[in-house]
Amino acid sequence: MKNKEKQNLSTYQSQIHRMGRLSSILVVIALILVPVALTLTSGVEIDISTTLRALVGLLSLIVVISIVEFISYAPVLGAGATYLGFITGNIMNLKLPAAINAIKVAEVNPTSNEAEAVSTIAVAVSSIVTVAILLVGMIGISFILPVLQSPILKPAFNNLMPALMGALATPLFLKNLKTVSLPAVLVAILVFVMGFTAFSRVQSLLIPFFLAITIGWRYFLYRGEQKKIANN
Amino acid sequence: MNSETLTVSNSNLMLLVCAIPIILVTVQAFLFLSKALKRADELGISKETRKKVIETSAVFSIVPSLPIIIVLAVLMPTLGKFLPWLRLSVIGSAMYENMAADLTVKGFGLSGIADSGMTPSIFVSVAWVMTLGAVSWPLINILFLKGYDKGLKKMEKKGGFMVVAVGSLFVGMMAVLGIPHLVNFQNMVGITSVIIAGIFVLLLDKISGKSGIAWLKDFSFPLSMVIGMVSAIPLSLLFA
Repeated sequence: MKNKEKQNLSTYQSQIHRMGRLSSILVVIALILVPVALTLTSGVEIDISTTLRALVGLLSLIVVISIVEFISYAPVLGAGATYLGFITGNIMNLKLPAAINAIKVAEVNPTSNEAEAVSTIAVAVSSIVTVAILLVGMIGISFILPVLQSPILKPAFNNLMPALMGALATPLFLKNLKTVSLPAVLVAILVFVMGFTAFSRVQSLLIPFFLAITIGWRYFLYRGEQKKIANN
Repeated sequence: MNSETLTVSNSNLMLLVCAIPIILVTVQAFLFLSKALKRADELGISKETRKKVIETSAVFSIVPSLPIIIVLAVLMPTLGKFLPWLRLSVIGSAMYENMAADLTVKGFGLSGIADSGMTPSIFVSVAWVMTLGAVSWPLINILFLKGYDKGLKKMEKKGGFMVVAVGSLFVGMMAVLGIPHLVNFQNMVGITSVIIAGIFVLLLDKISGKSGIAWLKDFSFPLSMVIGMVSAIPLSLLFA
Protein backbone atom coordinates (compact mmCIF):
# COMPACT_ATOMS: atom_id res chain seq x y z
CA MET A 1 0.00 0.00 0.00
CA LYS A 2 2.76 2.38 0.97
CA ASN A 3 4.67 1.51 -2.14
CA LYS A 4 1.63 2.11 -4.28
CA GLU A 5 1.08 5.50 -2.69
CA LYS A 6 4.68 6.45 -3.42
CA GLN A 7 4.27 5.45 -7.01
CA ASN A 8 1.04 7.37 -7.29
CA LEU A 9 2.67 10.45 -5.96
CA SER A 10 5.55 10.45 -8.38
CA THR A 11 3.26 9.71 -11.32
CA TYR A 12 0.93 12.54 -10.39
CA GLN A 13 3.80 14.93 -9.83
CA SER A 14 5.50 14.20 -13.13
CA GLN A 15 2.16 14.43 -14.94
CA ILE A 16 1.54 17.84 -13.40
CA HIS A 17 4.98 19.04 -14.47
CA ARG A 18 4.54 17.69 -17.99
CA MET A 19 1.10 19.27 -18.27
CA GLY A 20 2.29 22.52 -16.69
CA ARG A 21 5.32 22.88 -18.93
CA LEU A 22 3.55 21.96 -22.13
CA SER A 23 0.60 24.27 -21.52
CA SER A 24 2.93 27.09 -20.42
CA ILE A 25 4.96 26.76 -23.63
CA LEU A 26 1.76 26.85 -25.71
CA VAL A 27 0.48 29.95 -23.93
CA VAL A 28 3.84 31.73 -24.29
CA ILE A 29 3.81 31.03 -28.04
CA ALA A 30 0.20 32.18 -28.36
CA LEU A 31 1.01 35.35 -26.46
CA ILE A 32 4.01 36.23 -28.61
CA LEU A 33 1.86 35.67 -31.70
CA VAL A 34 -0.18 38.74 -30.72
CA PRO A 35 2.51 41.38 -31.36
CA VAL A 36 3.86 39.29 -34.25
CA ALA A 37 0.47 39.31 -35.99
CA LEU A 38 0.06 43.00 -35.26
CA THR A 39 3.48 43.84 -36.70
CA LEU A 40 2.92 41.79 -39.84
CA THR A 41 -0.59 43.01 -40.61
CA SER A 42 -0.64 46.63 -39.50
CA GLY A 43 2.20 47.60 -41.82
CA VAL A 44 3.46 50.24 -39.41
CA GLU A 45 7.13 50.85 -38.79
CA ILE A 46 8.25 50.26 -35.26
CA ASP A 47 10.83 52.38 -33.54
CA ILE A 48 12.96 49.43 -32.53
CA SER A 49 15.51 51.20 -30.38
CA THR A 50 12.88 52.98 -28.27
CA THR A 51 10.88 49.77 -27.95
CA LEU A 52 13.97 47.89 -26.81
CA ARG A 53 14.83 50.59 -24.33
CA ALA A 54 11.33 50.43 -22.84
CA LEU A 55 11.52 46.64 -22.76
CA VAL A 56 14.88 46.56 -20.99
CA GLY A 57 13.59 49.09 -18.45
CA LEU A 58 10.55 46.96 -17.75
CA LEU A 59 12.43 43.64 -17.73
CA SER A 60 14.98 44.88 -15.22
CA LEU A 61 12.06 45.21 -12.84
CA ILE A 62 9.92 42.26 -13.94
CA VAL A 63 12.68 39.65 -13.92
CA VAL A 64 13.57 40.41 -10.32
CA ILE A 65 9.91 40.46 -9.22
CA SER A 66 9.03 37.25 -11.05
CA ILE A 67 12.03 35.33 -9.64
CA VAL A 68 11.27 36.53 -6.12
CA GLU A 69 7.58 35.61 -6.52
CA PHE A 70 8.56 32.21 -7.89
CA ILE A 71 10.81 31.45 -4.91
CA SER A 72 8.22 32.59 -2.38
CA TYR A 73 4.89 31.44 -3.84
CA ALA A 74 5.81 28.00 -5.24
CA PRO A 75 6.33 26.28 -1.85
CA VAL A 76 3.03 27.68 -0.56
CA LEU A 77 0.89 27.02 -3.65
CA GLY A 78 2.41 23.72 -4.79
CA ALA A 79 3.44 22.90 -8.37
CA GLY A 80 0.02 22.64 -10.07
CA ALA A 81 -1.28 25.89 -8.62
CA THR A 82 2.00 27.66 -9.43
CA TYR A 83 1.87 26.74 -13.13
CA LEU A 84 -1.70 27.98 -13.32
CA GLY A 85 -1.30 30.97 -11.04
CA PHE A 86 1.72 32.34 -12.85
CA ILE A 87 -0.12 32.09 -16.18
CA THR A 88 -3.35 33.68 -15.01
CA GLY A 89 -1.80 36.26 -12.67
CA ASN A 90 -3.34 38.19 -9.78
CA ILE A 91 -1.66 35.95 -7.23
CA MET A 92 -1.70 38.23 -4.22
CA ASN A 93 -5.34 39.32 -4.51
CA LEU A 94 -6.90 36.12 -5.89
CA LYS A 95 -4.91 32.90 -6.28
CA LEU A 96 -3.06 32.83 -2.96
CA PRO A 97 -6.15 33.73 -0.87
CA ALA A 98 -8.23 31.17 -2.79
CA ALA A 99 -5.63 28.47 -2.08
CA ILE A 100 -5.25 29.31 1.62
CA ASN A 101 -9.03 29.44 2.07
CA ALA A 102 -9.46 26.10 0.30
CA ILE A 103 -6.92 24.46 2.61
CA LYS A 104 -8.86 25.82 5.58
CA VAL A 105 -12.26 24.71 4.25
CA ALA A 106 -11.01 21.21 3.35
CA GLU A 107 -9.35 20.97 6.78
CA VAL A 108 -6.11 19.50 5.44
CA ASN A 109 -2.55 20.00 6.60
CA PRO A 110 -0.99 22.93 4.60
CA THR A 111 2.12 20.95 3.66
CA SER A 112 0.38 17.70 2.68
CA ASN A 113 -0.34 16.16 -0.73
CA GLU A 114 -4.00 16.78 0.00
CA ALA A 115 -3.32 20.51 0.36
CA GLU A 116 -1.52 20.54 -2.98
CA ALA A 117 -4.51 18.97 -4.73
CA VAL A 118 -6.98 21.24 -2.97
CA SER A 119 -5.05 24.44 -3.75
CA THR A 120 -4.78 23.42 -7.41
CA ILE A 121 -8.57 23.02 -7.50
CA ALA A 122 -9.01 26.45 -5.87
CA VAL A 123 -6.60 28.23 -8.22
CA ALA A 124 -8.15 26.58 -11.29
CA VAL A 125 -11.68 27.58 -10.27
CA SER A 126 -10.52 31.08 -9.38
CA SER A 127 -8.82 31.44 -12.79
CA ILE A 128 -11.96 30.36 -14.63
CA VAL A 129 -14.11 32.83 -12.66
CA THR A 130 -11.74 35.74 -13.34
CA VAL A 131 -11.55 34.95 -17.06
CA ALA A 132 -15.35 34.80 -17.22
CA ILE A 133 -15.79 38.08 -15.33
CA LEU A 134 -13.28 39.87 -17.55
CA LEU A 135 -15.10 38.61 -20.64
CA VAL A 136 -18.38 39.96 -19.31
CA GLY A 137 -16.54 43.11 -18.21
CA MET A 138 -15.05 43.74 -21.64
CA ILE A 139 -18.38 43.30 -23.40
CA GLY A 140 -20.54 45.15 -20.91
CA ILE A 141 -18.07 47.70 -19.60
CA SER A 142 -20.33 50.69 -20.26
CA PHE A 143 -22.97 49.20 -17.96
CA ILE A 144 -20.67 47.79 -15.30
CA LEU A 145 -18.22 50.65 -14.87
CA PRO A 146 -20.68 53.24 -13.51
CA VAL A 147 -21.73 50.75 -10.82
CA LEU A 148 -18.17 49.84 -9.83
CA GLN A 149 -17.13 53.48 -9.70
CA SER A 150 -20.24 54.81 -8.01
CA PRO A 151 -19.32 57.05 -5.06
CA ILE A 152 -21.28 54.78 -2.71
CA LEU A 153 -19.33 51.63 -3.56
CA LYS A 154 -15.97 53.35 -3.93
CA PRO A 155 -14.89 53.07 -0.27
CA ALA A 156 -15.81 49.38 -0.31
CA PHE A 157 -13.59 48.60 -3.30
CA ASN A 158 -10.82 50.87 -2.00
CA ASN A 159 -10.70 48.67 1.09
CA LEU A 160 -10.91 45.31 -0.62
CA MET A 161 -7.36 44.26 0.21
CA PRO A 162 -7.58 45.22 3.93
CA ALA A 163 -10.87 43.31 4.27
CA LEU A 164 -9.51 40.33 2.33
CA MET A 165 -6.39 40.17 4.46
CA GLY A 166 -8.32 40.58 7.70
CA ALA A 167 -10.63 37.69 6.85
CA LEU A 168 -7.83 35.47 5.57
CA ALA A 169 -5.02 36.12 8.05
CA THR A 170 -6.87 36.35 11.37
CA PRO A 171 -7.62 32.59 11.82
CA LEU A 172 -4.15 31.70 10.52
CA PHE A 173 -2.42 34.11 12.90
CA LEU A 174 -4.44 32.99 15.92
CA LYS A 175 -3.48 29.39 15.22
CA ASN A 176 0.21 30.34 14.89
CA LEU A 177 0.51 33.22 17.34
CA LYS A 178 4.08 32.45 18.40
CA THR A 179 5.33 31.95 14.86
CA VAL A 180 3.75 35.14 13.53
CA SER A 181 4.75 37.34 16.49
CA LEU A 182 8.26 38.28 15.41
CA PRO A 183 7.70 38.73 11.65
CA ALA A 184 4.48 40.70 12.35
CA VAL A 185 6.26 43.11 14.70
CA LEU A 186 9.15 43.56 12.25
CA VAL A 187 6.77 44.21 9.34
CA ALA A 188 4.84 46.72 11.45
CA ILE A 189 8.06 48.56 12.38
CA LEU A 190 9.17 48.65 8.74
CA VAL A 191 5.79 50.02 7.63
CA PHE A 192 6.09 52.74 10.28
CA VAL A 193 9.60 53.67 9.17
CA MET A 194 9.05 53.49 5.40
CA GLY A 195 5.41 54.51 5.17
CA PHE A 196 2.70 52.28 3.71
CA THR A 197 3.07 53.43 0.10
CA ALA A 198 6.84 52.92 -0.02
CA PHE A 199 6.47 49.54 1.67
CA SER A 200 3.81 48.43 -0.85
CA ARG A 201 6.10 49.28 -3.73
CA VAL A 202 8.79 46.86 -2.54
CA GLN A 203 6.45 44.36 -0.85
CA SER A 204 7.08 41.53 -3.34
CA LEU A 205 10.82 41.91 -2.95
CA LEU A 206 10.57 41.88 0.84
CA ILE A 207 8.67 38.56 1.00
CA PRO A 208 11.71 36.21 0.78
CA PHE A 209 13.54 38.27 3.38
CA PHE A 210 10.66 37.90 5.82
CA LEU A 211 10.18 34.24 4.94
CA ALA A 212 13.80 33.66 5.97
CA ILE A 213 13.20 35.51 9.23
CA THR A 214 10.03 33.46 9.86
CA ILE A 215 11.84 30.17 9.27
CA GLY A 216 14.74 31.23 11.49
CA TRP A 217 12.34 32.28 14.25
CA ARG A 218 10.32 29.07 13.84
CA TYR A 219 13.55 27.07 14.19
CA PHE A 220 14.32 28.88 17.42
CA LEU A 221 10.81 28.03 18.72
CA TYR A 222 11.11 24.45 17.44
CA ARG A 223 14.33 23.86 19.34
CA GLY A 224 12.68 25.13 22.49
CA GLU A 225 9.75 22.75 21.95
CA GLN A 226 12.09 19.81 21.32
CA LYS A 227 14.01 20.56 24.51
CA LYS A 228 10.75 20.66 26.45
CA ILE A 229 9.73 17.30 25.02
CA ALA A 230 13.15 15.83 25.85
CA ASN A 231 12.96 17.14 29.42
CA ASN A 232 9.56 15.60 29.93
CA MET B 1 -6.53 57.94 -29.41
CA ASN B 2 -6.53 58.64 -33.13
CA SER B 3 -8.91 56.69 -35.32
CA GLU B 4 -6.12 54.94 -37.20
CA THR B 5 -4.85 53.34 -33.99
CA LEU B 6 -8.39 52.43 -33.06
CA THR B 7 -8.79 50.58 -36.36
CA VAL B 8 -5.71 48.51 -35.58
CA SER B 9 -6.40 47.88 -31.90
CA ASN B 10 -10.09 47.04 -32.29
CA SER B 11 -9.76 44.98 -35.46
CA ASN B 12 -11.19 41.51 -35.89
CA LEU B 13 -7.67 40.17 -36.23
CA MET B 14 -6.83 41.62 -32.83
CA LEU B 15 -9.91 39.95 -31.36
CA LEU B 16 -8.84 36.63 -32.85
CA VAL B 17 -5.19 36.68 -31.75
CA CYS B 18 -6.14 37.86 -28.26
CA ALA B 19 -8.85 35.22 -27.90
CA ILE B 20 -6.44 32.34 -28.65
CA PRO B 21 -4.30 32.63 -25.49
CA ILE B 22 -7.39 33.28 -23.37
CA ILE B 23 -9.06 30.13 -24.69
CA LEU B 24 -5.83 28.17 -24.15
CA VAL B 25 -5.58 29.35 -20.56
CA THR B 26 -9.21 28.44 -19.91
CA VAL B 27 -8.65 24.95 -21.30
CA GLN B 28 -5.51 24.68 -19.17
CA ALA B 29 -7.45 25.64 -16.05
CA PHE B 30 -10.11 23.00 -16.76
CA LEU B 31 -7.42 20.35 -17.38
CA PHE B 32 -5.68 21.14 -14.09
CA LEU B 33 -9.04 21.18 -12.35
CA SER B 34 -9.97 17.72 -13.56
CA LYS B 35 -6.50 16.37 -12.78
CA ALA B 36 -6.51 17.81 -9.27
CA LEU B 37 -10.06 16.58 -8.60
CA LYS B 38 -9.00 13.09 -9.55
CA ARG B 39 -5.95 13.36 -7.36
CA ALA B 40 -8.06 14.58 -4.44
CA ASP B 41 -10.34 11.60 -4.93
CA GLU B 42 -7.35 9.24 -4.86
CA LEU B 43 -6.12 10.84 -1.66
CA GLY B 44 -9.45 10.19 0.00
CA ILE B 45 -10.86 13.72 0.00
CA SER B 46 -14.63 13.28 -0.03
CA LYS B 47 -16.82 14.39 -2.90
CA GLU B 48 -18.58 16.76 -0.54
CA THR B 49 -15.32 18.46 0.43
CA ARG B 50 -14.27 18.75 -3.20
CA LYS B 51 -17.58 20.40 -3.99
CA LYS B 52 -17.17 22.76 -1.04
CA VAL B 53 -13.71 23.81 -2.23
CA ILE B 54 -15.01 24.53 -5.73
CA GLU B 55 -17.95 26.57 -4.45
CA THR B 56 -16.07 28.65 -1.90
CA SER B 57 -13.25 29.37 -4.40
CA ALA B 58 -15.74 30.46 -7.07
CA VAL B 59 -17.75 32.67 -4.73
CA PHE B 60 -14.66 34.28 -3.23
CA SER B 61 -13.11 35.02 -6.65
CA ILE B 62 -16.00 37.17 -7.88
CA VAL B 63 -15.46 40.25 -5.73
CA PRO B 64 -11.66 40.66 -6.12
CA SER B 65 -12.07 40.19 -9.90
CA LEU B 66 -14.33 43.24 -10.19
CA PRO B 67 -11.67 45.94 -9.63
CA ILE B 68 -9.74 44.44 -12.58
CA ILE B 69 -12.59 45.69 -14.77
CA ILE B 70 -11.74 49.21 -13.59
CA VAL B 71 -8.14 48.77 -14.79
CA LEU B 72 -9.58 47.46 -18.05
CA ALA B 73 -11.52 50.70 -18.34
CA VAL B 74 -8.38 52.76 -17.67
CA LEU B 75 -6.40 51.00 -20.41
CA MET B 76 -9.17 50.71 -23.03
CA PRO B 77 -9.32 54.30 -24.32
CA THR B 78 -5.64 54.17 -25.27
CA LEU B 79 -5.07 50.50 -26.08
CA GLY B 80 -8.44 49.51 -27.49
CA LYS B 81 -10.68 46.72 -26.28
CA PHE B 82 -8.77 43.54 -26.88
CA LEU B 83 -5.14 44.04 -25.81
CA PRO B 84 -6.09 45.10 -22.25
CA TRP B 85 -8.62 42.24 -22.13
CA LEU B 86 -5.88 39.76 -23.00
CA ARG B 87 -3.23 41.28 -20.79
CA LEU B 88 -5.51 41.30 -17.75
CA SER B 89 -6.92 37.80 -18.41
CA VAL B 90 -3.57 36.08 -18.93
CA ILE B 91 -0.62 36.64 -16.54
CA GLY B 92 -1.60 40.26 -15.99
CA SER B 93 -1.99 41.61 -12.53
CA ALA B 94 -3.97 44.81 -12.43
CA MET B 95 -1.07 46.74 -10.96
CA TYR B 96 1.61 45.37 -13.23
CA GLU B 97 -0.22 45.88 -16.52
CA ASN B 98 -0.98 49.49 -15.77
CA MET B 99 2.68 50.08 -14.95
CA ALA B 100 3.93 48.24 -18.04
CA ALA B 101 1.70 50.22 -20.38
CA ASP B 102 2.53 53.50 -18.68
CA LEU B 103 6.27 52.88 -18.74
CA THR B 104 6.21 52.05 -22.44
CA VAL B 105 4.18 55.03 -23.63
CA LYS B 106 6.37 57.33 -21.53
CA GLY B 107 9.39 55.87 -23.29
CA PHE B 108 7.83 57.17 -26.50
CA GLY B 109 7.57 60.67 -25.12
CA LEU B 110 3.88 60.57 -24.28
CA SER B 111 2.74 61.90 -20.92
CA GLY B 112 1.16 58.64 -19.80
CA ILE B 113 -1.45 56.06 -20.57
CA ALA B 114 -4.19 58.68 -21.04
CA ASP B 115 -2.22 60.65 -23.68
CA SER B 116 -4.16 61.12 -26.92
CA GLY B 117 -1.01 61.03 -29.04
CA MET B 118 -1.02 57.23 -29.31
CA THR B 119 -0.13 56.21 -32.88
CA PRO B 120 -0.48 52.75 -34.46
CA SER B 121 3.31 52.37 -34.30
CA ILE B 122 3.44 53.09 -30.57
CA PHE B 123 0.49 50.76 -30.05
CA VAL B 124 2.36 47.87 -31.68
CA SER B 125 5.43 48.66 -29.56
CA VAL B 126 3.34 48.64 -26.39
CA ALA B 127 1.97 45.24 -27.41
CA TRP B 128 5.53 43.91 -27.81
CA VAL B 129 6.78 45.29 -24.51
CA MET B 130 3.75 44.17 -22.47
CA THR B 131 3.88 40.68 -23.97
CA LEU B 132 7.62 40.08 -23.63
CA GLY B 133 7.55 41.45 -20.09
CA ALA B 134 4.67 39.19 -19.09
CA VAL B 135 6.12 35.93 -20.37
CA SER B 136 8.82 36.11 -17.66
CA TRP B 137 6.48 34.32 -15.26
CA PRO B 138 5.66 31.19 -17.30
CA LEU B 139 9.24 31.06 -18.61
CA ILE B 140 10.61 30.81 -15.09
CA ASN B 141 8.13 28.00 -14.39
CA ILE B 142 9.08 26.16 -17.56
CA LEU B 143 12.76 26.38 -16.70
CA PHE B 144 12.92 25.99 -12.94
CA LEU B 145 9.69 24.78 -11.31
CA LYS B 146 10.33 21.06 -11.71
CA GLY B 147 13.76 21.25 -10.11
CA TYR B 148 12.58 23.57 -7.37
CA ASP B 149 9.59 21.35 -6.60
CA LYS B 150 11.82 18.27 -6.41
CA GLY B 151 14.13 20.06 -3.99
CA LEU B 152 11.22 21.12 -1.80
CA LYS B 153 9.74 17.61 -1.77
CA LYS B 154 13.09 16.17 -0.78
CA MET B 155 13.35 18.61 2.10
CA GLU B 156 9.85 17.76 3.30
CA LYS B 157 10.63 14.04 3.13
CA LYS B 158 13.45 14.54 5.59
CA GLY B 159 10.73 15.31 8.10
CA GLY B 160 11.42 16.98 11.45
CA PHE B 161 11.91 20.71 11.23
CA MET B 162 11.70 20.82 7.42
CA VAL B 163 7.95 20.10 7.50
CA VAL B 164 7.48 22.76 10.17
CA ALA B 165 9.56 25.21 8.12
CA VAL B 166 7.46 24.87 4.96
CA GLY B 167 4.30 25.23 7.05
CA SER B 168 5.58 28.46 8.59
CA LEU B 169 6.02 29.98 5.12
CA PHE B 170 2.25 30.54 4.98
CA VAL B 171 2.37 32.49 8.20
CA GLY B 172 5.40 34.57 7.19
CA MET B 173 3.85 35.43 3.83
CA MET B 174 0.55 36.49 5.35
CA ALA B 175 2.47 38.67 7.83
CA VAL B 176 4.12 40.59 4.96
CA LEU B 177 0.87 40.87 3.00
CA GLY B 178 -1.60 41.42 5.85
CA ILE B 179 0.07 43.34 8.70
CA PRO B 180 0.76 46.50 6.61
CA HIS B 181 -3.00 47.06 6.22
CA LEU B 182 -3.47 46.74 9.96
CA VAL B 183 -0.91 49.42 10.78
CA ASN B 184 -1.57 51.80 7.87
CA PHE B 185 -2.68 54.81 9.91
CA GLN B 186 -2.95 56.82 6.71
CA ASN B 187 -6.11 54.81 6.00
CA MET B 188 -8.08 54.41 9.21
CA VAL B 189 -11.02 52.89 7.30
CA GLY B 190 -8.65 50.22 6.01
CA ILE B 191 -7.67 49.37 9.59
CA THR B 192 -11.32 49.04 10.63
CA SER B 193 -11.96 46.87 7.55
CA VAL B 194 -9.13 44.52 8.58
CA ILE B 195 -10.45 44.30 12.14
CA ILE B 196 -14.14 43.92 11.24
CA ALA B 197 -13.40 41.25 8.61
CA GLY B 198 -11.14 39.47 11.12
CA ILE B 199 -13.74 39.53 13.88
CA PHE B 200 -16.49 38.31 11.54
CA VAL B 201 -14.50 35.38 10.20
CA LEU B 202 -13.90 34.14 13.74
CA LEU B 203 -17.51 34.77 14.67
CA LEU B 204 -18.94 32.96 11.65
CA ASP B 205 -16.61 30.00 12.17
CA LYS B 206 -17.69 29.83 15.80
CA ILE B 207 -21.41 30.14 15.06
CA SER B 208 -21.07 27.45 12.41
CA GLY B 209 -19.36 25.13 14.90
CA LYS B 210 -22.02 25.71 17.55
CA SER B 211 -25.12 25.69 15.36
CA GLY B 212 -23.96 23.02 12.93
CA ILE B 213 -24.69 25.26 9.93
CA ALA B 214 -21.82 23.95 7.84
CA TRP B 215 -22.05 26.34 4.89
CA LEU B 216 -21.38 29.27 7.20
CA LYS B 217 -17.88 28.00 7.83
CA ASP B 218 -17.31 27.15 4.17
CA PHE B 219 -18.17 30.68 3.13
CA SER B 220 -16.93 32.53 6.21
CA PHE B 221 -13.92 33.90 4.33
CA PRO B 222 -15.69 35.50 1.33
CA LEU B 223 -18.60 36.62 3.55
CA SER B 224 -16.33 38.31 6.10
CA MET B 225 -14.35 39.96 3.32
CA VAL B 226 -17.51 41.48 1.87
CA ILE B 227 -18.68 42.56 5.35
CA GLY B 228 -15.30 44.24 5.92
CA MET B 229 -15.61 46.01 2.57
CA VAL B 230 -19.18 47.14 3.16
CA SER B 231 -18.28 48.42 6.62
CA ALA B 232 -15.96 50.87 4.86
CA ILE B 233 -18.94 52.64 3.29
CA PRO B 234 -20.40 54.15 6.50
CA LEU B 235 -17.02 54.34 8.25
CA SER B 236 -15.47 56.36 5.44
CA LEU B 237 -18.06 59.05 6.19
CA LEU B 238 -17.07 58.94 9.86
CA PHE B 239 -13.33 59.31 9.22
CA ALA B 240 -13.72 61.81 6.37
